[in-house]
Amino acid sequence: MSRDSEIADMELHRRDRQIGLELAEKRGADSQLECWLSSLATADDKALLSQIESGHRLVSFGMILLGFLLGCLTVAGLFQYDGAGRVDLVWLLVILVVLQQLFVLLTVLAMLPGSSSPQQMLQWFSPGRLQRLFLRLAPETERVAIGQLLGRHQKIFSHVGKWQLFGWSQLFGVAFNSGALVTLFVLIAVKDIAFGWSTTLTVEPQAVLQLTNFLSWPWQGWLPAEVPSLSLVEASRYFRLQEVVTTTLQPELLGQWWGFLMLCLFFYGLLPRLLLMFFCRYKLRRAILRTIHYYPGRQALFDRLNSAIIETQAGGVDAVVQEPSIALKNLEISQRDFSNAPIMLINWSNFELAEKPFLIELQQAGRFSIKETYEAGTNCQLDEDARVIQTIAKTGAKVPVGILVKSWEPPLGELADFIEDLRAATSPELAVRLLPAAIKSGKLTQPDPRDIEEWQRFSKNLVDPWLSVMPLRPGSDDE
Amino acid sequence: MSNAPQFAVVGHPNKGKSSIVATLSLDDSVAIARTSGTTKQSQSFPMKVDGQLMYELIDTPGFQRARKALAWMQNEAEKVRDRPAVVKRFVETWKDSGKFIDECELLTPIIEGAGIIYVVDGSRPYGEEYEAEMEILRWTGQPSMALINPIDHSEYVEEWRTALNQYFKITRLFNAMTVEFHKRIDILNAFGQLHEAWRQPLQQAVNSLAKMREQQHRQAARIIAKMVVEMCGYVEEKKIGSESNPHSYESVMKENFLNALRKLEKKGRQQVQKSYQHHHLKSEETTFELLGGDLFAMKDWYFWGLDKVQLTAISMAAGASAGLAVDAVAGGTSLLLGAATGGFLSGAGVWLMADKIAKQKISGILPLGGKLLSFGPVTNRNFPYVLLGRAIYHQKLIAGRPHAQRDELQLQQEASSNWLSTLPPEPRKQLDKLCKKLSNQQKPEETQEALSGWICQIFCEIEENKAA
Repeated sequence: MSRDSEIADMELHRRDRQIGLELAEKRGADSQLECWLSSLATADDKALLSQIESGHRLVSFGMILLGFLLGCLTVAGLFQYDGAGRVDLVWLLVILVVLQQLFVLLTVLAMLPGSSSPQQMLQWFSPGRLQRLFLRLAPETERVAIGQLLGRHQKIFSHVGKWQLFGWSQLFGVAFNSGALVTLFVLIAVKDIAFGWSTTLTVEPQAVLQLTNFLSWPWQGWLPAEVPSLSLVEASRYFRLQEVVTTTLQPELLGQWWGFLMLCLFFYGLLPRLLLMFFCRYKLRRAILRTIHYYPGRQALFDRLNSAIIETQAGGVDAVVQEPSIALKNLEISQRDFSNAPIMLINWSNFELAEKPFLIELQQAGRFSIKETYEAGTNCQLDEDARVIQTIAKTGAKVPVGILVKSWEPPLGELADFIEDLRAATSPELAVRLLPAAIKSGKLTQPDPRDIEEWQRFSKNLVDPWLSVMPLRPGSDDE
Repeated sequence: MSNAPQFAVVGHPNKGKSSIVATLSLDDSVAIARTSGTTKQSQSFPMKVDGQLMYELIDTPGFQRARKALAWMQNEAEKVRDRPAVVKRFVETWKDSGKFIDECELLTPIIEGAGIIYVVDGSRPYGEEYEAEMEILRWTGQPSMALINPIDHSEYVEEWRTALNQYFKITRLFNAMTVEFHKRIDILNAFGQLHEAWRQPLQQAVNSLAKMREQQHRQAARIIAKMVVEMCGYVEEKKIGSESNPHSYESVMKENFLNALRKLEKKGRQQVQKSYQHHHLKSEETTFELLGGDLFAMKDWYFWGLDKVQLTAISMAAGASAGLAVDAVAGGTSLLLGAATGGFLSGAGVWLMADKIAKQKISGILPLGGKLLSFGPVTNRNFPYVLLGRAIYHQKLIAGRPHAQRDELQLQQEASSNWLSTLPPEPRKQLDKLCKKLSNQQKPEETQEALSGWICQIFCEIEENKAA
């Protein structure tokens, strides 16, 4: 989708609609999206996917390995036993239960919605951040691919990145506890370990028993044998100055703590991390789906897939336009009038000239006197046009000719032909004036200047030095 | 060969044939000028749905020598039944002669089977000189209809209608410069009535165009929603040295911040124009100045958005809800004082800050030294309303603008009342909720999607109201 931003909208629609038509039977948005992705996936995309997978595998493997090793080392360190002393149960419980529970609590706090500063700080301590370390071992391509997955380039991926990091942290935790459990089991199998507890404070064995009963709550119903008894608690207590182990203290009892410890490690170490790991996977999946759902351009994509391409425009060929051959600014309307000279008026407008007042108005507007009037053009027959030309030619064409036209109608080729024929039949120097006039209710009105420009352009395009335009305006004689 | 109907748009020169084609083909690149004879050759505008031709509009040059052409034909035809063949012979005879160029050009698609759309200008009086061309068209024997295009005014429409009814079975008024989308659709339906075989492809074309219109609305709604969310969350940031005085950057940062928002609005508008296929609107026509002045002219905010009293009321309601929660905890012992106090405090705050746009913030020391200055986002509750008001008004003008129009976009002419007052209660309630989320930057992705749906609904309602 990021690549699509460089493609023109129409081209994009064409491409996606083609895919959309092929998967017309797929109705669900997700299945459409999946098909769309697979049909557009390039070799680079497939390579990127395999890089993400390989980077992801590398980081996950690193987390498992490091977590497992640390778990082994931690338990091995805690259970260092030379056969003479006792392994301190208090330390074991503090590190394997209390500390782990504290970390789980902090993880849950960091997972809460929002991005407050304390949460960001907690995330900074997340083991998931070790992914950077593992990715250093990976090729550059994998590093970039994982960077994209973690949303370093797009804000919308931030949730995916967040839950992926938490997921890796939990994987680390699971591996740590698994390593610890395995090591504990091995040590117990190969060594005879004596456990004991000791404290400087005045703590009665009953209080310790209450604590162990509390901790044993998850399994006391179905594994009562692994719930420490008062006798075991009492027997395991030792004092700093006391001799190592006395025969009267039933030394075989001191090894019975191992079951309790393993279950503590399972229920308070491994199980919460496993639950959190599955929760993170669920949230990661949700985040990915949400990212896909709100990914910019997703709805537009579905529109492109499911909406027909509608073309209504002239494709490829530009509209054929005849630019006006005369620029408007060069046009000048003839200022010379006829100075009340007689003219031969050709009525090309079909105006009703029978009315005398209108004729007078026309003559006043054009400062001419009408010697003769002829009807031509518009609804006349063609032979009438020819007769008009012949009649004017017979007069010797010494009197200027005025052609009365409707100012609002565009000049047509027929008029151009008529002027050409007239010129051919008479003299090249016969003064011919186009007289555009506008009328309303049988009286002259002001013609639209845009219409006059049109007539001017027509006149200039005919390239006839004795042809000009003189618009007839009402009241011209008063000016 | 395709059986899709063709329609030749013919008539006298300069009567708006190209404008009609531009409007019907939604193509704002068609050459339209007041100069007559702009179109010298026929140009085809095929309407295709997924590559399948539905119909074809053909823009043609105007008649130049209709009387002469008709005289030739009358001379050739002895019987009425010969007339279509004579018109065909006319084209064949004169096609490459250099004479009757325009007549041959415009008659060619008709003798090949195209329907006739005859166009006249209803703002100019009827004249007998049109009869020759109408007669030629009648001689072709092809199905035809007339469109009266009142270019400047409608004074002579009835006069034309009376004359045209004698030559054409269907006569319609169609102003290519102002016609709404649904009227364009009506005209296409009327084309379908000219010939039984054309009805089905035209109906299919009309359905497709209606769907395209919906898609355009959806696309515009998405663009506007994205723009509004981006603008509401926009923050201008600048890193400065530890020794620098942050206040010296204040005015520059504010200006940059406002300019960035103006640019986002302009970009959004251009995208909306594009989604309605207005690709050739000049850039200066789309600047913010035209739409109720500058985006940040506070006096206009009360026009586009909520006024001070409405803003205060909304905030008081929100404050009172928060106060009610306190009352609930107090178990009634507070005598609803929590709600009253919350409402009053929120309302007073908004009343005092109603004209403030955004806040400036200086964040702590950066990891590599220095300070981070930030300006924004806009905290004013009115901002989303203002943005939406402007964007919806702009879309309304663009969506209603026929593609034949070439004049400047008049963005101020219709905005006479506050758009919020025209909203029915339920959409208004939804809008208030969305604007609250926008102001609070809550779940921007979800808000954007919901807003997009809301805007699209408004667009569709506007369209339906126009059609009704």
